[in-house]
Amino acid sequence: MGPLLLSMARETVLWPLSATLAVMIAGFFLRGKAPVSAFATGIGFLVGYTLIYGIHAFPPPEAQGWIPFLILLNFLVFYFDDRIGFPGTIRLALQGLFSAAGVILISFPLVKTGFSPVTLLMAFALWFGLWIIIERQDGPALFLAAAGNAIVSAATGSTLLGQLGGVLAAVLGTQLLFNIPRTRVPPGHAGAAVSATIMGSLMLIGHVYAGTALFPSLLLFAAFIGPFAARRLFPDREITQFALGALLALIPVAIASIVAIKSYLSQEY
Amino acid sequence: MKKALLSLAAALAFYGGLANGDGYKVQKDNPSGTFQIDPVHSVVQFWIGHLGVSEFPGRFDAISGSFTFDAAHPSSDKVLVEVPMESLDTNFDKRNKDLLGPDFFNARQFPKMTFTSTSVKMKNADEGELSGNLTLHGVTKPVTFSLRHVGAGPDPWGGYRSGYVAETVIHRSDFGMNYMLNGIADAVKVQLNIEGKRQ
Repeated sequence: MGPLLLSMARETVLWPLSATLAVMIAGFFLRGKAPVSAFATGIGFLVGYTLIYGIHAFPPPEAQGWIPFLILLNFLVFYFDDRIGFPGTIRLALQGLFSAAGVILISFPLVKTGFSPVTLLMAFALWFGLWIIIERQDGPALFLAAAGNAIVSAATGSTLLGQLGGVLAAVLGTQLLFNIPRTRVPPGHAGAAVSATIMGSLMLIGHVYAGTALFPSLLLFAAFIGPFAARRLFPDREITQFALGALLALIPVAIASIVAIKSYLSQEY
Repeated sequence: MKKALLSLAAALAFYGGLANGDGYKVQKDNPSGTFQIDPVHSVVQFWIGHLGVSEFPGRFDAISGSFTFDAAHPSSDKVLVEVPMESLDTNFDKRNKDLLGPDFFNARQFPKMTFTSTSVKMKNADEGELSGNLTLHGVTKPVTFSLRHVGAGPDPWGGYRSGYVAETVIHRSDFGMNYMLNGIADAVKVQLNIEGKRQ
């Protein structure tokens, strides 16, 4: 492995993974409750983000510069949700509001260049939908979808977004391993909010600014179907649920990754 | 034999004369006037260090703009250049896409690169310095090009042309492009080849 790849591996995996693990362990022993997971996801991702993309002034000049601010905002709001427990309708309204805010902030530079309202609505629906799904899925599907998004982004869109997607996958993978065989640190509403914000931002920036292929990205959403099915089929067998859910989630992620890689390899010199 | 040698000498004299007479010549007529940039004969090229082992080239093919030149008052000259980022070509589609995406130029958000001169200082008839503001990736910074006037004169279609080569080195991090500085160099050599048609 050359020095450049080693450096990328350190930025994308090693440092985010170490930061996430440190927060998880500290949180587990100190309190063991939410929002430790949200904090670990946020800190782990921001460590990788800063190493890869750097820190930029406010207001950020580019869409990806908004990601840390969106993470912070959503973390704070949904931290209170975890502490005091918002009513379901309020939570849903806030999730819709912050999904819309994320879509608008990221797409705003393109509004003057004729960015269509239909695209904005579709982006909002996907971001909001992703959040609702993540809120109910804290297992392997999220990690696999994040890993798939990293591959799809790098192969069909942007190396930078692929690397940032890899950071998210490393952070979520660390938490997944930490929670095997039983959940020690549940993600809570804040954890779902942070994960949805990062994943939604990366996917939207990829499509809007980097031309990431739409089909394999949409296919990644199918990763969340498997664990739902496994839960229905084996409601009382936790390990079977986990294993079958992971296996079923892997299928659409593998197809999306193969489609993206084939698309990359088909490009001619 | 003598006849053959004479024929050969005559042929060499004829073709040699033709070659000299029709050879490429730099025209050094008056470069003054207001010129519109001819995009077909103008290009922005750049070279950037790759992995510490090579200097890789790329270019922008579509340029528009204008320039003026007044030999008596070069300080009043104006150069305006506009380059659509989508005209980038590095000979590999995936790399073009990466460069035009959020990794580097972010062309959807910043679709144009512009240069507006602030001063032209000629050291002699052919060489000087061109200073101005370069806007790239949404950031405007002052840059100075070394300037070389190539030639000026009539074209075969009844027009009048003048051309320059301008060179400088910029640092991409100055323009907010910081990604992968450990694999792709910060310093970028930029060369602007411009041919203008007098208005």
